[in-house]
Amino acid sequence: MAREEKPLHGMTPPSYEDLFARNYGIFSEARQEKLRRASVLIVGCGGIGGTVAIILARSGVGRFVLVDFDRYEPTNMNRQIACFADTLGRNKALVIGEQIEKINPEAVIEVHDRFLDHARIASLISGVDVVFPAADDFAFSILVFRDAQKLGRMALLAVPSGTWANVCLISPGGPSVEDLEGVPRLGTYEALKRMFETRKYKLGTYDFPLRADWRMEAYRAFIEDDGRPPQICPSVWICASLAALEVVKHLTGQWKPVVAPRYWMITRNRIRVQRVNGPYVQTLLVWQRRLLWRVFQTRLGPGLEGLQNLWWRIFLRLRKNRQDSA
Amino acid sequence: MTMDAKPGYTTLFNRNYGIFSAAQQERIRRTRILIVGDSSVGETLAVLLARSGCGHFILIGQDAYEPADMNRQPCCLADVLGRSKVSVIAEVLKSINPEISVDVSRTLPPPVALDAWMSRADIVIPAVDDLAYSVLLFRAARQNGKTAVLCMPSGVMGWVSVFTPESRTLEDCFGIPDLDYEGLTDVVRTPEFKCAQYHYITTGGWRMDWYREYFRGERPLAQICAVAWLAASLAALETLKIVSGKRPFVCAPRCWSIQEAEVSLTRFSRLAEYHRKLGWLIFGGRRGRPLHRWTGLFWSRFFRYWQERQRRSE
Repeated sequence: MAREEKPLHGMTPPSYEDLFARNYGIFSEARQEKLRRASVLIVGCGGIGGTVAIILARSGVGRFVLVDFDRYEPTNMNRQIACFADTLGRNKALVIGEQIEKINPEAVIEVHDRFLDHARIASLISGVDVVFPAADDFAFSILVFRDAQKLGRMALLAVPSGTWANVCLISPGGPSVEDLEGVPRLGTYEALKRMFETRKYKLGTYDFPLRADWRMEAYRAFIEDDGRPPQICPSVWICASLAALEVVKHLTGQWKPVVAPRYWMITRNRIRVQRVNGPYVQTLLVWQRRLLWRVFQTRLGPGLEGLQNLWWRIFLRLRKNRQDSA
Repeated sequence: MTMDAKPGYTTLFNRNYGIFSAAQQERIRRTRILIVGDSSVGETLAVLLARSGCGHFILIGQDAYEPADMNRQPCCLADVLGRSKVSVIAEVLKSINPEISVDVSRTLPPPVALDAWMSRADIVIPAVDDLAYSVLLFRAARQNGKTAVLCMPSGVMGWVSVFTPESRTLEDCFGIPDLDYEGLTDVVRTPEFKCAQYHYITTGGWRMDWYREYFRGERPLAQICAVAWLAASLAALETLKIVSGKRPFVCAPRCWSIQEAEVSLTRFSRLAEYHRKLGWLIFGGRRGRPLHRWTGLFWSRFFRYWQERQRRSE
């Protein structure tokens, strides 16, 4: 496209080797070739999905399947890589696709700018090397992860929230996303979606104000009115670049990638690799979310819910006081 | 987009307010950021900080986009190849936040003129490939009472830290001799100094062939996007911590360190620091000259060993 319009000083357009020249200081020709031939499916091209797509394009990955039905809004500006004054209102997958074309003109890009159901996405999975479910709707993503594991494809997990994030690859034979994040195993999308919306489940995420740096107003809006999680650009991009690095490691085979049960735990003052069920705070949260959900389904449920609401009021007051005095 | 009014600051940065209070976000908005240099670090940080809501930028750089910048520079796209980097970055920042103010200068100031630029900024981000000039920028920031953010990725390694007027100096942390610009430029050019950058191979993942050509001055630093952006995002996070005052930042000698594509919060290696200081003491002076033949022998064996090791793993 841009090649015909504005050639660089009348020269021929730069070749793949020119564009990715500096990569060859790290990757041998054979390894760079693996990147060039690789294909990636990204479901959701927002803050994290879009940034990972661009980093992979700038790393020389050759084929992209981009899925997103959403359009850029003004509040996306604070972190989303292709959100600019002139792309507001346009489809995200389409815009990311155009940017990739301007990075690597030989990249093969397939854009789906409409909502695709799980069956359609599953049919795309078998044609790619790595799947990245990055939909806003985590319930939707979880089903894509399940399909990827079923179809034997490596999937990427990258979930930022405030200044906290988790990143790892999910291998077909390894632990699932549910094991990593403590999501109760429910069969259908609707059941999962409903569960994420209940306060019973949401209150299990009390680490958001504690470790992800959320302000209490934002957390209260999230619990009580389904408010959107706060995000800042540096934390989203730390998560995205680490995620893209893991994909590059996996595709080139140059270093050992972090694959579940190992995962990157990112907070504002620590980044390290942890292990599922290891001696960490996350393990406590994971089991609490899982076990409490079981208890909620029994006769003890209503009583427990009353207790939980009481706890929420105390927690909110204490944290709010602490925030105001700081 | 069919909208009645252009989105205002609080709309654009709406999602920030879940992390920063209105007062903290206002501090971010008012901060003046000075970025000196054309490296990918400066450019990525400019975009990250603009998207975080910083309102004032001064960009100094003299290069134009080349095809080889495509693999890591966030504003480099096919249609800007050949154009001045800083002018393109300025346009991008404005299309993120229309009320942003960007001053652009297309020549790197001579060492004596640095103070005038420093006084116009709150945070200084050195982003030049020239190591000697970079040291000078850190010195100037310190002398003018400004905080400077270090972000130095290469290959799959990198460092990110913050140097305040009160913290330890860059020279101290890296064992850099106390010389003026000309002196430093001479040192940086010597093969002895380049050999002391062996960590590019051991932890930075550089291939030996590339390093040999870099050694002869025929190659630039090897860079890959994921690591360069990881380092820049960490540096942006630290910058926001400094500016907002919400959390303590990672101050030298503590640092974020990326080694062999793994990242951790640690401190600058004392071993590297003393080894360089000691090396300078022994080999730096005139009396050290005759020893260079022997160190040369050592390094050639060392590099041959690594070449062999890499060949086996490939």
